[in-house]
Amino acid sequence: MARLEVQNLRKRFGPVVAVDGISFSVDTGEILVLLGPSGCGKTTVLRCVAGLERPDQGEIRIDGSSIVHLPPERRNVGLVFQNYALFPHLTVAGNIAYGLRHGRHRISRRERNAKVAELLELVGLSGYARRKPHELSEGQKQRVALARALAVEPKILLLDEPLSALDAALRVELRRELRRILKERGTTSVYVTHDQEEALVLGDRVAVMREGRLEQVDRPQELYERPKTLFVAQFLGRANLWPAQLVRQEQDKALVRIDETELEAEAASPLSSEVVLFFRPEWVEIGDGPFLAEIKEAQYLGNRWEVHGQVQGRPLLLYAHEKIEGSLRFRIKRAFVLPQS
Amino acid sequence: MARRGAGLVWAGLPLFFLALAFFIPLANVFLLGVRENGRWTAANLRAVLSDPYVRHLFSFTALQAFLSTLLSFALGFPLGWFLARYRFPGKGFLRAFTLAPFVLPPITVALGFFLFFGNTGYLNTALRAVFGLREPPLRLLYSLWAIVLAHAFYNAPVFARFVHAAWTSIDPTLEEACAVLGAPRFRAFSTVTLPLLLPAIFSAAALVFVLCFLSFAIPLSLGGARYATVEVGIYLYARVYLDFSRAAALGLVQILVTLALAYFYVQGSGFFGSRQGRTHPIPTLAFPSRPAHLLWLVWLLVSAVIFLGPMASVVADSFSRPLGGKPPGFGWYRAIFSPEQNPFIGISPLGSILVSLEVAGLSTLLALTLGLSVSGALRVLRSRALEAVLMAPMAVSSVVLGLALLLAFRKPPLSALPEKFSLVLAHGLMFYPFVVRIVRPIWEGLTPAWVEAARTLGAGRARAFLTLEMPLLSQAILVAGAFSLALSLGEMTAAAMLSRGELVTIPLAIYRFLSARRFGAASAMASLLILITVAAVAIWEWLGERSLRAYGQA
Repeated sequence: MARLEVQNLRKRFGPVVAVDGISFSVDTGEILVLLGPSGCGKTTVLRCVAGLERPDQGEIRIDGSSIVHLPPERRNVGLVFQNYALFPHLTVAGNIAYGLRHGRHRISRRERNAKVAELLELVGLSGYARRKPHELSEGQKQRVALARALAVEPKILLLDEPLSALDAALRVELRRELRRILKERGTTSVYVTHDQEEALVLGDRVAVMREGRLEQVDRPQELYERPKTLFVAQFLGRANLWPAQLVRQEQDKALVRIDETELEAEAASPLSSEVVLFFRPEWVEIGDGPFLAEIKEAQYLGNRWEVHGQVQGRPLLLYAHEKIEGSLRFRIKRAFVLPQS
Repeated sequence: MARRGAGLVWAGLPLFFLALAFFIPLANVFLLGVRENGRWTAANLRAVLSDPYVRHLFSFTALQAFLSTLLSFALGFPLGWFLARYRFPGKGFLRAFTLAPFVLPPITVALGFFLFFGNTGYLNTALRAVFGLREPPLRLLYSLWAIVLAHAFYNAPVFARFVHAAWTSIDPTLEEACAVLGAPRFRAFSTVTLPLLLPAIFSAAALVFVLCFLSFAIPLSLGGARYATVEVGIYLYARVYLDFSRAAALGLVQILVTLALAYFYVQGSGFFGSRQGRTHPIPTLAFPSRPAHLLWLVWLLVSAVIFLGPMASVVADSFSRPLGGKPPGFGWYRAIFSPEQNPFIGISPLGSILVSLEVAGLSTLLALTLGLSVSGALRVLRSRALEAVLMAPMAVSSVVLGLALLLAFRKPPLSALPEKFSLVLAHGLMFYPFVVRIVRPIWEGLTPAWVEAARTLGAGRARAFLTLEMPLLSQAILVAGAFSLALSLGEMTAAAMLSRGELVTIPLAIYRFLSARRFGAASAMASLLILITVAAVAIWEWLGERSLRAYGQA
């Protein structure tokens, strides 16, 4: 149980700056998700914390004491690898017991066996102790990798896209279970993913990364409803983004104008006169309203229709319960104002 | 991180050893060729190059290597084709068999050729009996053709393996695409399959040419002085005429030629891009299933005679050649385990077996140590120059290496070692590159995340090596060790260069028995070597190339 702090972390590989000055902290028992497109440097952050890469600059502390100069085996930081990295020549039990046998805090065979049994129970694999990794399904491998990392009771647990190799249905099931296990054990965790849904479900907080920098760190709901940057707004979920003029701003309320229509919306930061109006497709209410949209296309998605339209040359996306053709009037129930860049 | 440091630790041992036992001795040999009485001189080189006998040596060596390559291709290409295209009972066995010549001692092949193709050999005897002839119809021995045929015996399987590997890496949908586009089958073969096989054929040809160019035991025992190769020539100068300067000069010329060939080989394979892609399960035909397959059957029969005849003759001879006028039973085997001094080989037969075992055991340990540390170094420090230095013994022929060590063991520091260590060092230097070739790709194929995972679980670098990499490499090390052992037991070139007094190994004993026409004892000893070869190949197949690579892909 520990608190992790990362300050001003920088890492370059040759000419490529992978991590460009990142700072964040994770509280005891908290799950922080690092979310970003592939190649944004999130795995590098994780490897720096684990000690598998040496950062060019920056500080990493656990409970206030620096670990930057320690080799990985002395950091007490667990890592669940993307492809699990299960040792192919050892059984499931051998894999889980590895750290207890060869690691820093070795324990007797009897204690080891008890610990392995407990962990197998935790991840729902009792009875699989003697299997070899190649005899397991992908989902089972994932559970073993988690149990192996938890066995040494790391202060911090890092997870590098642990569900990305699984098929969709299993991924949904396992992420719920993963959150249950991490919360049950109160493990401070950093979870890397490029899957936004996974990030929203799993994270206590989500940090969105882009090209080696952090764009925004917030609770999932905050991130989804009040993105601070255009990148976050576009990367997370679907969004309508309309250029607009700011009429006036009072703290977190703003009045903006689109064409001839004035509209009230929320705002977070001080804004200049040119702004972007951000609203989710589900915030569009069909019926009466100041806006008139021309419908271009409607796609059937099973539980709803995804409707693409245009309002004075601006693209519009909205969801409907039935097919819509021609044109429609609508109003924007709720919106958020972002700076233009 | 600290990986470069680890690489330097790995590289340190082999660098030190190579300097002492390889580079300095080799440099001294070359100096011997170009220095006289403390002055630089080209006299030896000029004498060597203008000597008509030496010119004959080179042209003959090149001619026989060229012909041997052609015949190897003619025999090996169909075998590769057959393995790639057909399925039949015993296919795995046949595939394993193509590996055998790599480890089969050349002296047993030479002996087999005597016994099978000789004027009174099994083949001629059989042909005379069948056709009622008085004279032996095939007069092969003591000719260029005996050497070429023996080399083809050796190297056809090289072609077969290369062609088979290349063929199975061709996507079968390419030929299907040809069929869909309307090309008849032979056109699909000539326009798609054959061009894709060419890089492999070229690589195999270059390799086989170099191997035949540097062949020693076969021309020595089947050709004699008249059909000597460069390798035999150096041996004759050094060990028969005791003219070390000339031997050294000839060795210098030879190494330049082989380096040029090797350069051509490397450039060529780069140019032709012999990338080993993923293997595809090509659709195979059941064999035999069509009338046309009769042709294959005939070809198989001829191959079986050429390949199995000589080896079977050796074993048959060891059990049938009369001993003291009576059928021998196991008599020849009892004779080769005799502790009594034998005038033909200059040592007791048992003594030579023990010497061989000792040399093989020690040189295998040396080869494994060097091979592992070189693999470890090259895995981390990816430097072409370092690789060239660490693998340099590959570029030197066995006779030149033998000559270097022969001279080095006359002076300190190496003269402090017992004489048999000269052969131990020679074999260690000759066979560790094989260890590297077997171990390194598997080591490099190990997922780096395994070691990383071990370290995040609290194991230090050394412990991670012992608990992960060593167990995962153990099969490869076992295979490499078995091969190194078998190669050392069968190696004759360096053994002949370095033999002195009691230092007589099994192949040398066989050669001396053979020269004295004491076939029974030679056959029994050769049969022992064949048995060891089969065991080494069996270990390879048993552990399986596939299971060796399985961890790399897990």
